[in-house]
Amino acid sequence: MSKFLKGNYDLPKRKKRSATSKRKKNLTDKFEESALAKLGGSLCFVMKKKTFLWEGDEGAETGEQTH
Amino acid sequence: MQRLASRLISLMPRLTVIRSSAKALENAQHNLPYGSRTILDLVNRLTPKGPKSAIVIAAGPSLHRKNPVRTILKNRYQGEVIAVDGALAYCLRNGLVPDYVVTLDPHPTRVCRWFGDPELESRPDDDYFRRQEMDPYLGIDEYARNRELIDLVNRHGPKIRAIISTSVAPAVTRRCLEAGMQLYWWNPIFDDVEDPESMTQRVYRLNKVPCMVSGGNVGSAAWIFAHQVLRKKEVALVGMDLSYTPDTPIEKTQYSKEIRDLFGERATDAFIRVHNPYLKETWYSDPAYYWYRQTFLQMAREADCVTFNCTEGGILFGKPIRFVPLLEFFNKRNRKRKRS
Repeated sequence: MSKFLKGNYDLPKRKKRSATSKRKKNLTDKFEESALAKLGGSLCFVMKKKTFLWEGDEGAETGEQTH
Repeated sequence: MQRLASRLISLMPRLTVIRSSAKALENAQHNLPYGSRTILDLVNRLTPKGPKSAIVIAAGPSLHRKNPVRTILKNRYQGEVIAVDGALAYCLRNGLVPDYVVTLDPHPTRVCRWFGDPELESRPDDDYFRRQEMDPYLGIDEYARNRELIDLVNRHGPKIRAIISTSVAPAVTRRCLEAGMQLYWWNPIFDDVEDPESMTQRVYRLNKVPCMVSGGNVGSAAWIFAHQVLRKKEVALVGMDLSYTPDTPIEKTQYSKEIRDLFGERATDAFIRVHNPYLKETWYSDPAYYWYRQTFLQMAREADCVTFNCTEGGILFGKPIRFVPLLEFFNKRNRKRKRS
């Protein structure tokens, strides 16, 4: 089939996105995120398995000060 | 649901991290000198004969439409009452002194107002309370009502235990202490608690305070406290709308200013309309509150308690939550008591 579909021109090679445009996008994303952050909730949170409460473990290092 | 709203909901976890985590960490550091007791001290005090149920009083608009405190007092409820900070003034004004008040949000000035803010008159003007209907009473003649609230909280403070997150502003901590409340500390679980490099473990190493899932908002945190710390098997919620009444103008919603600034004419697309089949009404929510709702339903499936949503308003319904009027919750309990 491909022999019937040969073109008479060469397709331009797709340019790779430059590092600057990637950086620009990251900056835009960051700016957008920080603007949108005003809509965020009171506090972030994650719940894994059924762990509602975590009381520390013996492996946890001790802190500079205790509460 | 509009595409804008669903995109914002998917971004909520990340946006919330950006909005509040740094402040929460900073506050945890500043709160170090104030701690002694933690929520685990309450676990150690539990007795098998203690009440098996609790009512969580959140600060949604149904609180002022339905006045659940009147029903609670009329039914001489014997269980424990846990108010969120935003509902404290409503409770005290109506003659109910809660056993506990839960506070979580790291905002530097606004949260203090729920306890009566002694610095209010010297702070820059903030229309946050005027433009919303969280507690309409406090939104009128603000300075006079703030002074009233200071007196009220000072009078009843010694009877109330503050379930205080290390993320709150030190001004809130000082206010609770000034009012004579006993403070019981907890750290919110911010991220993967099993990861030694997580923010949660970093805060834990700093203060050695037990960590609890917050659900992202103080109402959810109060519900988690009820079944995880107080070990209640039945928890009723009132004022837990996580949304706005069908007739609330968008300008009166919590994030309206920010949504208008960001999206202009598309602002209405950021809101989510939810039909409540129990009420046969359509309430509406913003991305943050809708996210709270979805995560609450997920958590409720894992919780070791039966949750009754007695708000009689809002959008928090779905398995396994029982959406019933508050009076029905009391009647059920009375029937149970008579049988036994």
